Amino acid sequence: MASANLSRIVEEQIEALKKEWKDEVRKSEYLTTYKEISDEETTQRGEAVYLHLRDWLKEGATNESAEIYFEEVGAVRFKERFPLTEVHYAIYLLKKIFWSKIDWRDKVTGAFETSNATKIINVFNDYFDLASFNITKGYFNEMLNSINDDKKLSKADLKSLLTKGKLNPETLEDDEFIWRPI
Amino acid sequence: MVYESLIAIVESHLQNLTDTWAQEVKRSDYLDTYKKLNDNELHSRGNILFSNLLEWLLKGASNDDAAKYFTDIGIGRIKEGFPLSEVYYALYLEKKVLWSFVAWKDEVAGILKAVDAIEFMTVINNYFDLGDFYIIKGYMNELYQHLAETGKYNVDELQKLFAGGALYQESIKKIKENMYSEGLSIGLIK
Repeated sequence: MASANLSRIVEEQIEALKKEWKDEVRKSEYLTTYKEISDEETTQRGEAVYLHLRDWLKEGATNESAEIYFEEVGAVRFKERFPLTEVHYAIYLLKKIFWSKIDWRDKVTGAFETSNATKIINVFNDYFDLASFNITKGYFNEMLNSINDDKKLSKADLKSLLTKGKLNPETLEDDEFIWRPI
Repeated sequence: MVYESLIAIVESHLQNLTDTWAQEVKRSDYLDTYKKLNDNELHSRGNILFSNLLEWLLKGASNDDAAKYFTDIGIGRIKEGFPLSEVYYALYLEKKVLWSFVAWKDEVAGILKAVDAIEFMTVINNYFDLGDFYIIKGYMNELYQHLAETGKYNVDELQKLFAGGALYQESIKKIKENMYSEGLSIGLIK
């Protein structure tokens, strides 16, 4: 129900979502690297995230597709020389714009139902938390891949410095990241 | 109303929040580095997490305070050898635990209204979004310094590795103001 409501928002408001995203990027004093790309490309990038969100919701809002997608986004942004902070800021803006489009009222009663709101909040947060987390993983993995192994401080040393814990999704329990009751 | 309620929840459940966070860390397959901490240290860190959140709320939810706090966390964790992804995950657990207590309050007492829930999450997300952002800043700056001090990378190599962007060109205060005003301009930060 919550997923269906949210995916409907994307479908119904995709034009407004991507336009607001592009406008916010252009207005932002912070997103200097994003400003180097064209309006059309900027719009497409925002649209791509929202359309992925729609598909993710329709496919059951599991973590696998979000992991793959956002790790790739993180890796590509590193290759494009975007600072990780800017990528996170972009996700923050996408999240805030989408949050502003949610109609929290129940479709049947028109009332603000607490259970609806909390369910929507849970699904909404899952997606953007997965985004932040997996972008960071993808970005750092690509950073490691970019280093030639010809330094006294070797690629392995740097890898040890950056990734003493787990970065390999195969070692993770599938359900661990999805928002669940504690 | 929301701030007062959040303060009341964190104050009255500080120990429970800490215990739940520590349990979640221990049962996580992901947080290998955090699991190396002994129980006392883990609880102490959990307590610090929620105490800082409480202090932030009590002081009026200042972005300046949150920015400094999370930047220091980023710096501190890389010095201790924590992977950034684990630091993120621990923060994510803090948000999750906090939200579970807010939702529990709703289920048990029926006090929480939908509009309150939305506002609760707006406040909580604002705090943790700032957290995500400034932890990266602290972590990446410290990593840059660490690599520069080794003398094994020249400036060109470091600049290739670390895209700076606006973060390193502007003062921290200006970025915070921008971030906050941009949030305000699209009607999301109250």
